[in-house]
Amino acid sequence: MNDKTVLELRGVSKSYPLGRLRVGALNDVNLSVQRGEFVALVGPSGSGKTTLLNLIGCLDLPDEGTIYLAGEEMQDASKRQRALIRGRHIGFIFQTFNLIPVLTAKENVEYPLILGGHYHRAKGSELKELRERPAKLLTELGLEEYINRKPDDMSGGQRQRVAIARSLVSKPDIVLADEPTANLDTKTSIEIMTLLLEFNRKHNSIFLLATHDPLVLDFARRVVTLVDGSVAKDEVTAETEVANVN
Amino acid sequence: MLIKTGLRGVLRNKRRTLLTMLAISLALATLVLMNAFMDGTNHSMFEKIVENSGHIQLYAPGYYDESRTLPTDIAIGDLEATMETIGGIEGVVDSTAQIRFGGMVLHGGDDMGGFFIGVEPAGAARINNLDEKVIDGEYFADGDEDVCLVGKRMAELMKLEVGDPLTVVTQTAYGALTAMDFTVKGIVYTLNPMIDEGGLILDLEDVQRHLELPNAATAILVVGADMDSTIELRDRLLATLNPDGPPIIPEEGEIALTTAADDDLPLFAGDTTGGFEIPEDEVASPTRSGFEGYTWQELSATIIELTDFKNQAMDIIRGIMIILAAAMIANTMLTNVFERTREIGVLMAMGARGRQIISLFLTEAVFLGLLGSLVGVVLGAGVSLILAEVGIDMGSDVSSMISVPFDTVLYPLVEFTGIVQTFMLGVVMSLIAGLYPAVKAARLQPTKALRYL
Repeated sequence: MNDKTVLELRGVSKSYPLGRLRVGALNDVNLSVQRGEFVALVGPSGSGKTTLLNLIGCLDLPDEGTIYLAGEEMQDASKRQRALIRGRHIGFIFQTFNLIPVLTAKENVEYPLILGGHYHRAKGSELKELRERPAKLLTELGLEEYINRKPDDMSGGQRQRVAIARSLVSKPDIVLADEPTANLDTKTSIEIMTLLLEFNRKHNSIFLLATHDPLVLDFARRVVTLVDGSVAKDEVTAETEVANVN
Repeated sequence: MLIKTGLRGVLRNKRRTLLTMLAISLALATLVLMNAFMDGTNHSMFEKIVENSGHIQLYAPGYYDESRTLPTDIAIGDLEATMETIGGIEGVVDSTAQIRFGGMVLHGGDDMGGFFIGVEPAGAARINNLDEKVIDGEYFADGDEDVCLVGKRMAELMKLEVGDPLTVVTQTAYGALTAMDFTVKGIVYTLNPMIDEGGLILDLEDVQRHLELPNAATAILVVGADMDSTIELRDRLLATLNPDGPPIIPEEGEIALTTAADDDLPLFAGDTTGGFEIPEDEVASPTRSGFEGYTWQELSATIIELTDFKNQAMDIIRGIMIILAAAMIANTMLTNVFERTREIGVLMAMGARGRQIISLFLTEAVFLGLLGSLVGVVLGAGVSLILAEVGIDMGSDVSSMISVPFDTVLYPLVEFTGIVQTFMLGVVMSLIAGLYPAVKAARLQPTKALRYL
């Protein structure tokens, strides 16, 4: 693992029980992702894309193998520690947006800052900046007029933008997106992918996008193909532009 | 934010929230109403007991143990001086003397066993409100001689009306058989089953004369400042009245002898020889020195025990109602958890820890409980206050049915502390009921929760 490597998977396997049997979802996956990479995870349904995202996102633990996040081994982390890692270092974008319907756009975006304890740790100008960040982020995403609206009053594209703002608000090291454009039309999908790429360049975060959408591949700098739970192909399609961000 | 989410979460499914709140509110309203009803019943019952018995009763030593037989030969002597002493004791508000005895009532061709009380008319009016209980005829008046008040039921059974003559057959304090003629001056309805069913109320002076107990009584009723601090007053009374310490109850052979109060010695006093009563100069004195005292709580121990038992039974009913309301909350919260499983997964993905998930769902449960409890206690207190104003007619026979002094119209008693306690109970119950669903939510596997549709 070199200095730029933020995420590394070594010999990761995962299976799930199905009745009396166990069905393998991932089999001896090795993967190394460096800061600022914009990676598309592709493969047929059941190839293990979502399972891989879940393991990287500390939502689940592998049966075998080791996952390193910023050099730290995740295997031994407690449930609470994994929750803290998720809250502070990882952002999630879901296919179905998964916004909290009773909260406004701003409140939805603010939620990870509260759950991850970001407000608690910040003081003075940093706290002020944190408090202003959700509205600022939504404005940047073109949702200024929708800040105080609830998800039910928004279109699919607007909701996904809110979901993106929510995933980015804590400036995570890794953003994991599971089929982020699946429920969007082409125009909106392009807008969303453009936004994600912009953030990737600006904040130097790792973006891992599990997708079936060929459009996403046009934006990806690296494409990892999973077949039957194993990495079948791993190719760099464009040079990653690493922003000058600490 | 967790609280805000929790509060808004309650309003997600308004119909379900409303139904749950309704269940909590109804349970709490019923509890408040039940408490008011029970408190009202107990208060009315205890007030009636105190009205009949005073706060403390003083007897001659040994009377209490024999009180079931209504003995007239265990009496308090030197009554006037004793009453004066009692009146001067700190904390005594009022007092009155009585002579209680048993015997037969004869009227026309009918006879009936009865319970008789000789009362001081003025004292009985002040303490027992006896003058207000005359439903036909009149109360005692100055100058009356050998008139009586008859219990309502007894009057019905013996077909007695105001102005009718009746004869009481009993024994004097010296054991002599005696018959006394009285005229019915009034019919009373006291709510005391003993009097209403078979009681005669007589003037104490008449009874003293007929029973050969001049300046004596079998009981002194004492009223203090309130019905709760009776033990202190009783102890003070006895300390003053028994300056040499608690009296010793005399054995049969140790009872002091006296000359009979009447000029003619009692017919059956002394030994018998050849079938004839031989009067003796001296006989066993019916009055004893010293006093024993009992509070109304001690005198009504059985009723108080029954009340405690009744309260325990009500506690069980209360418990069942609380459990039912709690089950409703738990069910609603569990449904919330199931419906929002995916949302819980999202929260976990955003870094929510178990404690935060628990807080979120507990907030919802407590909010439900707070609102439901508030509506419930306001509703319960409102209905109780209205009923406390108009009263609940329990029917005129309730007192005799349960053999306990009891007002025919019950007024629920609304106590602020009881309402606050019921409200707190509702909130705590909601918290406990919400705990299981909240913990269940916090224990969900994030990946499973996110897959949940």
